Amino acid sequence: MARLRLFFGTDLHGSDRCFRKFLHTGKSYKVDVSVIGGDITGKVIIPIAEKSDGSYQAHFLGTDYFLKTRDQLEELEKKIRNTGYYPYRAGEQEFDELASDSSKMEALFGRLMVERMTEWVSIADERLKDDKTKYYVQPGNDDPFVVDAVLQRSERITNPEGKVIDIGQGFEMASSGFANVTPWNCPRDIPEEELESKIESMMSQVRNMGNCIFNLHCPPFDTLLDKAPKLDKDLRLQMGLAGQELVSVGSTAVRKLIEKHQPLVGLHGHIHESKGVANIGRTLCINPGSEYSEGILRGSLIQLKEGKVESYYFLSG
Amino acid sequence: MEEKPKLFVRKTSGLIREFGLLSTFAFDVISYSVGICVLVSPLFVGGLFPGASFIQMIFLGAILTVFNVGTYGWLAGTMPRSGGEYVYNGRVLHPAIGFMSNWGFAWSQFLGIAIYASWAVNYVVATTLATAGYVLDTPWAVALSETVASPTATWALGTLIVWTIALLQLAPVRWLKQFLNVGYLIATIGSVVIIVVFAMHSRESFVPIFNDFVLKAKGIPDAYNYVLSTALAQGFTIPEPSAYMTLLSIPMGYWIFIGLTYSTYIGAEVKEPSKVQPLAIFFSLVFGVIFYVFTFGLYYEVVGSQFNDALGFLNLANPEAIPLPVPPVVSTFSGLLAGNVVTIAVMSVSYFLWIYLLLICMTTICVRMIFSWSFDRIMPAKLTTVTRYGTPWVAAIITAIASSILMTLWMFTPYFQYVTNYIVIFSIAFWITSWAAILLPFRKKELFELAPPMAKKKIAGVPLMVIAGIGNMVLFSLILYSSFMLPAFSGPVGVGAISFVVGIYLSGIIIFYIARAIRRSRGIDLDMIYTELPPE
Repeated sequence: MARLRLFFGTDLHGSDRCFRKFLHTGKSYKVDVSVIGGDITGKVIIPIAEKSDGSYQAHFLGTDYFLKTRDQLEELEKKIRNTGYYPYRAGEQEFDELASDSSKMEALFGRLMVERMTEWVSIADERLKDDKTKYYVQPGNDDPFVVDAVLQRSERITNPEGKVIDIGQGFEMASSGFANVTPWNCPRDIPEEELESKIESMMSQVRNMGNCIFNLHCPPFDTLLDKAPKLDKDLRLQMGLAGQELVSVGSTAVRKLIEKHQPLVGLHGHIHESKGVANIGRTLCINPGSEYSEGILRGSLIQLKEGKVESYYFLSG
Repeated sequence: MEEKPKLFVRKTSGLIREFGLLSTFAFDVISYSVGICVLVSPLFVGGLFPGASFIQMIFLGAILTVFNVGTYGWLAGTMPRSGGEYVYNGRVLHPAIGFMSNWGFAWSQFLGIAIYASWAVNYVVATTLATAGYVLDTPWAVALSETVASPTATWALGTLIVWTIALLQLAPVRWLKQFLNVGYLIATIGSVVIIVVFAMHSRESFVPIFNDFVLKAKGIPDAYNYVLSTALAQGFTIPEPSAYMTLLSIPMGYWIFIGLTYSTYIGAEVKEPSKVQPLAIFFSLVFGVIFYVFTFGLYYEVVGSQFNDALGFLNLANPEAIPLPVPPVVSTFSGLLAGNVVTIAVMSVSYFLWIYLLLICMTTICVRMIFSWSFDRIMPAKLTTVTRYGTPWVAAIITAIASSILMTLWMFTPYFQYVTNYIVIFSIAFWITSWAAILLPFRKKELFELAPPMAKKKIAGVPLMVIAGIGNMVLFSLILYSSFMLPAFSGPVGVGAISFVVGIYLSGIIIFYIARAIRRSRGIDLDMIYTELPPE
């Protein structure tokens, strides 16, 4: 049985720069399979206010920008896109309306996400024509469902959500971008029981668990991959006698299923600062973390051969 | 006028980092340990740079240190990942250079931990016993202070300190952070007490107290004038103010701030790094300047610069001639002036905490560096073994073992007198990092776009990041020059010492390429770790 080289990155959160780098992973890292494990859409819109004299004004990463030429405007928009944010040009009146009407804001977010995803898919289909690597991109718990349809249209990128896919060399990958319920009630947050049955429903399709990869956005509960600050019901940080309290926020369902089925590898994301590895029985679980806002594509390069992880390491691409 | 929205955010799960501005500031201030600098600087300056102006040295050192602040603060703001020069030099220059410089810096830290732990015993525990014994009129405490200051007791207690710190590393990071914050507060309060103690005395009140102490401890009358006359008899001359000596004292002017960039080595744990890192480092520099000017201004006023310089001279020329049972460091004098055990205890806790907290910070960054090397597979993966709380215990124990071995060599062998130049070892690492700042805007343009806004501002078309790098290079070139001119301060500069320093850095390169070859044979290409993928 031949080796399989796999790149796994996650939590791009709209970063144009990270996505474009992802499209180079096949050739640069010489991998057979390249996977993005969820949370592909951005979190923030940066208003670029159009002034009456035709100039623009914006505030981005602590700096006020006064833009007089088209080149300046486009340069700033590129920077904003690279950090994962959405630049949006409009008059001040429209921004006031958006600030006061959450449904309009939601609609705008949806529109901008679809536009960027459409652009990404188009670039991917163009650039990956002659690339033999298989590319998989799945939405995560932060991503609204509108992006699935866009991914569906791609010729070169596969959305593996809810499927067990033969990724070559005898290895299979079972994927889900859903997560247990977070304090933010994100689009793909679901109760643990539902998450368990969603993942469990795929298990009957797995032919050989010894060569199976679980590509589950949410990390298993109570590991080094799932530590996040404790929040109260108003989403404020909880401080204890010993300072900020960290708690496990991973999924008990994910842990239970890994313990039960013992796949070869678990690929996880969700908690950007919990980069690391954890062993659950024979399963090696990996969270490469994320530095999307710096335009750095963090990831793991994993080499597999017949029921064995030959090697793995972290990359900052 | 109503504030317009600057951004719109939707509900998504968040990214949290651990250290905020206050914690990072505290970490940096602790890391240059004003306590140690206050303890020993006057003695060193008096002996090594007679005629240098201490206050001018502080300002000159601070001005040049601004370039160091800019270089490390802005690089950390641009590349917020733990590892210091390993990351900056590795990404901007070459991975092998990144590892080599960080490897060299780590050695300076292992060595620093050994030296400072022994100072905690000699300059704090022993002096506390001596001064408390004097105040309480208990000769056995004064006698015990001499025992504690002996090499064997210093080694035993110093080793104990190193290992308690290794154990602390096993605690969850938030506990460690809280310990640092609370410890910093207590140490600062104690330092304020030290300032108050000196402020409440004058030369006239100090001299009789000092004379009485020495008379009781050593039976020598009029000890203040005895120190001066003994020094003069042994070749000491009353120094004239000297601008040249002030210039030569630049390494000392920097050394009193060394460590203020240490938050960059835990970069991944800092909130809003592009803003917090440069600000925290800069504020810690400002804090240091104010604190030193106040403390040393009062110290020299009370003790007298000629007396201090005479002690410094004797400390280098003939330490046996100093009529004291414990080293003539600032804690000895502040303890004598305090006059009561409670104040002595408060000041001693402060002095001790400054050193102890510094050792925690140094150990923490050593652990983080070892962890970074292992994560990237330059070192064995076993070194990344962590507890369930995420603390890398294997790396903590390795740091403690290395420091304990070096302390043993420091205390019981002449090895350090011939080969180990602490200042030169770390200065080379910092000098190399200048190049990362200078070349970043040209070699990594896209990365430079993410630099803090201030770093991208230009003077005569040159980004401030580049100017900071050039200034940092000038600073460390001066320090290296001065180190070779004044080996009594920095350490030996003979063939053995130079070979040792070169050996450390060369071994870094050799280790990198051996690891690269071994990993390549196992399918891991170390060159890929920091190879930036094409962004278009």
